[in-house]
Amino acid sequence: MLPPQCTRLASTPIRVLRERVAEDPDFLFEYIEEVYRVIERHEPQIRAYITLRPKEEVLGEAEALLKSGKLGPLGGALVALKDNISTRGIRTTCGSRMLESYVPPYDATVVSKIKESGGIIVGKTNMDEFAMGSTTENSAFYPTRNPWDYERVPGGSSGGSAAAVAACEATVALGSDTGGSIRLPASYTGTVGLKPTYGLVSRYGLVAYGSSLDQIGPIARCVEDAAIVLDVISGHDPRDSTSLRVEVGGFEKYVVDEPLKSYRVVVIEEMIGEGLDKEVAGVFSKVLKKLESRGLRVEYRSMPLLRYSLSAYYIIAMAEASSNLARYDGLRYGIQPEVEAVHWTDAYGRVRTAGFGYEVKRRILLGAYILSEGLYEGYYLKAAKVRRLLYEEFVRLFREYDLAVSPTSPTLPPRIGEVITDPIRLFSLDVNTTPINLAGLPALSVPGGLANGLPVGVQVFGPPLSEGPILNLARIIEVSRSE
Amino acid sequence: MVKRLSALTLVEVDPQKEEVLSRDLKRIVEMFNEIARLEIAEGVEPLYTTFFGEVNLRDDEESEPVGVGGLNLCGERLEDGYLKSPKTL
Repeated sequence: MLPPQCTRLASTPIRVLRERVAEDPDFLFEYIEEVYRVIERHEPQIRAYITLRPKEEVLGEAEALLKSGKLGPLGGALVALKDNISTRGIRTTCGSRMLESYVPPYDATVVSKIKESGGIIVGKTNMDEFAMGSTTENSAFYPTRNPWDYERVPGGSSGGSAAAVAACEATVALGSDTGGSIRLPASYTGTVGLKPTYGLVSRYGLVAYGSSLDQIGPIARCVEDAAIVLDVISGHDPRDSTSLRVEVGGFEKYVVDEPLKSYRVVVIEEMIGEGLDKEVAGVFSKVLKKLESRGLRVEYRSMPLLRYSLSAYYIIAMAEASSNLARYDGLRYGIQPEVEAVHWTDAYGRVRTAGFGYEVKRRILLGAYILSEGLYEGYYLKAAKVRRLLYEEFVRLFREYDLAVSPTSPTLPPRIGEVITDPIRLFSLDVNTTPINLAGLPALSVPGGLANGLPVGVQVFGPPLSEGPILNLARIIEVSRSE
Repeated sequence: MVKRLSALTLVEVDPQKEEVLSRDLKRIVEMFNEIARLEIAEGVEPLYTTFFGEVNLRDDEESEPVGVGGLNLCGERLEDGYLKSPKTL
């Protein structure tokens, strides 16, 4: 499922790229030239990138990679990175004026792994400021447009990454997902986006938003590419105190066209209830029928507590954000104000006032409100208890079922400007994705089909560390689409 | 509410946007009140993280000091090898 910007050559998947380059190294140069042609043609409208590396630099790296003979599992793939992932020597803005000229002195662990595995960084992608938003309209620089319809948003906050991959301006991308920021843009741009189990992928070098919720994950044009990238970036990292000590790898082998077991699949009724667009419901229902036609049993369960998950998520995320963003003081990070003869509180206030945009300020203010004395117990503590109850309900659910499916978003991609002025409507786009982050579960959005010419994503999720079966079911949905 | 929170967080808001912000905050807090009103049984422990593994703590390791040269990211603030900062007293 590709939008019109893609050409056959620019849409080459990783496995094919790897094989073609092994046969004929010059293919890598042809491929890079073609992707840059697509970028030159369409980037002025889409604006997926904040920082794009010059083609000559990328070609030079490709040459060095070929000379080294270590093509690795990525085989020269062009990888776009969300601009909140630290890159040594390449500025990392977080979509904010605050970090407009910040150049990290180190690579995030995922970036080191990408480079060691034959990936070439093509650029840094646009995002909602500090990952706060669901449309990529909150970028301090410019909004990114959806390659399927330039009048619509690509989703957020990893909207630049998803748009770049959808339009074939990169082979794959990395995004970060705190409450749906990989899956929602994947759904709106017809790409595959995977949020791993909390702790499976290192957060070292990811600029923190909600530390107990954030995860880095791949955005790709097909399930197989997502699995290959997950194989590369997952694994224990001593630099991340919440990195899981588990054996990883072999995700690619789950990408087969038949179910590896007779999965028991569940649909949570609250995820297909109130607020679901009829176009989205139509595509989702077709996907369920196709799963059943392949012999998979699909059952329905109610989880009434889910009606509180959106509020619980935003309370926790805003509380964590207001604390995490306190580090932008203009000394270590952030724009640098005049400090001569200025009191610390004035200097600090000036940095924060000038550096943060409206949405970030709104969330900092709310985070401080939630955590204030006398209100903390009623909001933050209560939300953390709801999180516990929700987590336990998911544990019980996945004793009975292997996997769950839902629409990723209840709506088709909104028009630019349509939801940005209404915070509740904006938050509601995340209604089916936020419960997953609260419980630390893995989840993936895979295109289920088109409605009115726009992509509709299906979310597949499961218990912790079920990425393999999730990729398998996602692949089945992917191949069923053309049947 | 906006003025109080603004002073507390040291974040000033554009006066032209204050009214909109105030309205937004009220609506969001109203949404959060769903949680505040929810009755939860005694004994439910709050969940702050879904990481249940062993927390990784690295051993202390001696490393090369960054030195003045390493502070070049804050270059314009350096004076005679010292980092200038605002007054705190």
